[in-house]
Amino acid sequence: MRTSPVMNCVVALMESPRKTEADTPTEAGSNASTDAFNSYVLPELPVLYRTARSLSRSDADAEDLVQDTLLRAFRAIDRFDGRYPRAWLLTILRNTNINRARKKKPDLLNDPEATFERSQDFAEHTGPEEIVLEPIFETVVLDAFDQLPEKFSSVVRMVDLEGKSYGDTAAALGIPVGTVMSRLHRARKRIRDEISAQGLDSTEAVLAGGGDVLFGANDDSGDGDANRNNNNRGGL
Amino acid sequence: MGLFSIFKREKNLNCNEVLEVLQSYLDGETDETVARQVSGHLSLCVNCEPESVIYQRIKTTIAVGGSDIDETVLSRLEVFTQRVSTGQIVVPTDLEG
Ligand SMILES: [Zn+2]
Repeated sequence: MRTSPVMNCVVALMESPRKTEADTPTEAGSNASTDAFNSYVLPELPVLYRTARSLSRSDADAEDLVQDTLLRAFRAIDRFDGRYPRAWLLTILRNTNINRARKKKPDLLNDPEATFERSQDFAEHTGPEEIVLEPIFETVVLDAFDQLPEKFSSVVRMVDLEGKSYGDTAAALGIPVGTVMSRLHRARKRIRDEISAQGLDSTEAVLAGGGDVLFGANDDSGDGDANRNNNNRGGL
Repeated sequence: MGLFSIFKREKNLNCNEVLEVLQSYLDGETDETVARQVSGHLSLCVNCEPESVIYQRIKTTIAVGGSDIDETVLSRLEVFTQRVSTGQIVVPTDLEG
């Protein structure tokens, strides 16, 4: 499998040992896969929804995206070995999102035939467990944001979410402007350090990843390769 | 805005000085002079420019995805998950292609 040099943050390459069975997706769930699915998915719903929201234009779109992701995930559950459920689900979410963006904006792609082929590949051989997983910038940021102590997160929330000035934030919290600034610095530094820890801070990763994930259309790098790869595997 | 009066006179900022005011710059809290000095530095500096891109994207990500999740959405998704897991909802054909 070819990997791009910007994917310097490979979490895992999950390869199913049961490759032949994998090509016949199960429709209805056995009790075992019902329990497994619930145990993988339920704890990750908040992170899935938040990531979806950062990739979608509206909350309704985000909810739709999560639902499509869950349907795809369940179809692939027999091929998932249970390691890294979050990364597995986020990879499916990312691919689902890219696939949707392609369908919505086919005109943005230069070669309609290649597009058609790729979406066929994706549909027929959805093998997200075989894709090299990378952490998603947005997820890492939102996770790190969630883990900030309240006195830091409140400052970030007011400035970035509510668009308050430093002065208004200071007034709202009853602290000096200098304290607002130092908390903001420390809070963002923590988030930024997590970006580094996940290997997401090379410029290419940030810029390329951002473009692809946010706008979804002009993606000819990692996921395209992964899809072609799945196609090859499917033919084995 | 007396905070950055040290930078008031036109001068070239070094990387440390830029990184010190970068957050305020991204938040639109620097005065015009400092903003101009910072953006001038960023356009030329291979160290600071990527930092500003990352921090800007952190800001944007939080602005878009950081608000609290509506509990009713979460419970709808939980119900949906359970329905999927018991085969009550299967992949519709329009998802296939
Ligand atoms: Zn610099």
